[in-house]
Amino acid sequence: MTAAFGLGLLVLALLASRQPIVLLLIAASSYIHLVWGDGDLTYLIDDMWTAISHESLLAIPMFILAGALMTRGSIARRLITIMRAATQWLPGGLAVACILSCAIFAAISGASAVTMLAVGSVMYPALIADGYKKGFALGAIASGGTLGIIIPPSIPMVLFAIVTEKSIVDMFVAGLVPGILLALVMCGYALIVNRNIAAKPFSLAELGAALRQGIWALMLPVVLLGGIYTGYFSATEAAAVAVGYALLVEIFIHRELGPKDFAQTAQETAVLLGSLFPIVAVALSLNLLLTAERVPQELAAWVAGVVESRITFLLFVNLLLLAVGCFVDTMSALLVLAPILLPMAEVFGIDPIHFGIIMVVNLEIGMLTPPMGLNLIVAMTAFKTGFGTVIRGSAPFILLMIGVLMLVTYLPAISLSLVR
Amino acid sequence: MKESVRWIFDKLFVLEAAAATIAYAVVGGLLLLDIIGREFFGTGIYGAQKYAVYAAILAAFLGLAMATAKGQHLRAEAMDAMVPQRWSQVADRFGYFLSFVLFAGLVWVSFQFMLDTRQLGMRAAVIGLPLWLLQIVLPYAFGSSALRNLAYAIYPTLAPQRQIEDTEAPR
Repeated sequence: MTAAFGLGLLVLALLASRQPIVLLLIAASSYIHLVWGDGDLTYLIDDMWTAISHESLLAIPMFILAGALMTRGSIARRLITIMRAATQWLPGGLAVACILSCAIFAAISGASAVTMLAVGSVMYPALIADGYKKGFALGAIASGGTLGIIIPPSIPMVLFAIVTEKSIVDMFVAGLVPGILLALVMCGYALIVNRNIAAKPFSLAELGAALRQGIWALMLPVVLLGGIYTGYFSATEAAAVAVGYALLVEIFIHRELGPKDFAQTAQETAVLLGSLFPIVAVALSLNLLLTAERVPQELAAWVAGVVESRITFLLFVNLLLLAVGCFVDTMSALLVLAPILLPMAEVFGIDPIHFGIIMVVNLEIGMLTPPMGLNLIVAMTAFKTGFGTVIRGSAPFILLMIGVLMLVTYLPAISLSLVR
Repeated sequence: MKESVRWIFDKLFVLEAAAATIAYAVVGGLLLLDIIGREFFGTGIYGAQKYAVYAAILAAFLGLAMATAKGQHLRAEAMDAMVPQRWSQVADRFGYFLSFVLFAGLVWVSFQFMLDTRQLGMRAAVIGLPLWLLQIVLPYAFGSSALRNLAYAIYPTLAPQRQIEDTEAPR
């Protein structure tokens, strides 16, 4: 008990002294090794090395590199043009175009704030110019951006699969329907709220021109997800194909990128991964230690004794994750909590892939919940507006997403219907 | 002195960025060539994924040092408000110093780990190189981060400004 109190105190002290999460996790892991383990800290480094020597982790840098390449090029702009041409005949069509652009760009980049910035930088001024309310525009962009982590390919899904030793492809397949459902619900809301905004006449010529300009961009999710779903290539191979396709399209077809752009993008990717990969390594090594000490199993047995029904357990998990999502970033929350919560979920007969989707949707909502919701902060900074305005604009979307979360939680078929 | 320190770290960043860029080009190139070889010529590149894994590890740990240089390590800021605004700079400097101490400790532990691997004569799977040669990147990355944090504690103006819009780990 005293040792556990010491661990809590250590974490609080490191948080208060402004330490990065990677050092916080390493210090906590070292403490666990010293107090409950064998006391040799080289085992911590050994476990970290072993954890990151896994081939499936290669999918992460490749998807991030592909997303960064496409953000730097013109793929996002071309997708937006297609969506605008396809939806401008609807009252509130531009808002729908914004959310659909986020959804499709998410299916390329696998990242959330990247999606929000790539689409938002074009769509936010356009929405304001067309008379949409500022709060709604900010909410739509911030919420649409979160689709990046539920619509496959998704880096959090890759991490969940790795940390719990499940299939990445199954996670991707399971995320498709909930992702589409979320996008449709957001589009429906956008149409209802903006029903009084004047529509523009549909132009087949304009849509045709947009498709001709953007067909290569539009084909990428088809190639990527089609390849994964048909089993033609693995998730890691799909990530490499995405990089190759992005380079091919942006250098030789769109002619938007050169070698300098690749170097700059690779550098940005290295910095991004430099903040992520060591956290993954420490979290995986911590999981090895916890598993060796049978901590998740004992916690699962304890919870099974306290919580009686599956419905109560799922409600508890959702509340816990929504609370955690307010304060902790998606990756850290997922890496630390997934291996602890999954054994408990399995006690209640919950499918691991279904549970993974529940976790991802929860943490997706966490990107919009104050005080630490990342998309709120990024939207506030990027679009130079007040935090309160972004929160108020996002609030209706959060409620809708919680509604979808409940459906995803209590109707496993939404996630599992496509999983073989 | 401060400008010399800034110059050294700037140059170090350029070298680390160049090495990381090459490493990622190797990762992407190997994986793609493996697929192309397998699909069009009936045989992939032997051990391509393993080579790619080691290149990715190299790039990731160089990225750790680069993320320190750019101030882009993920950090929970929920407790920052506990420190009054006028003490914020002191808290930052103390934080950098503590990061230096922790990273310096990691240099020592990872160096011991590397020596253990060397003494055991372990070799990297598939490529056959002594494993400790690849593991040098661990003490290097921790050391580079430690020294940067020490410099920020001594010269706070060298510390990177946090850029919220760029700090996101992909989600």
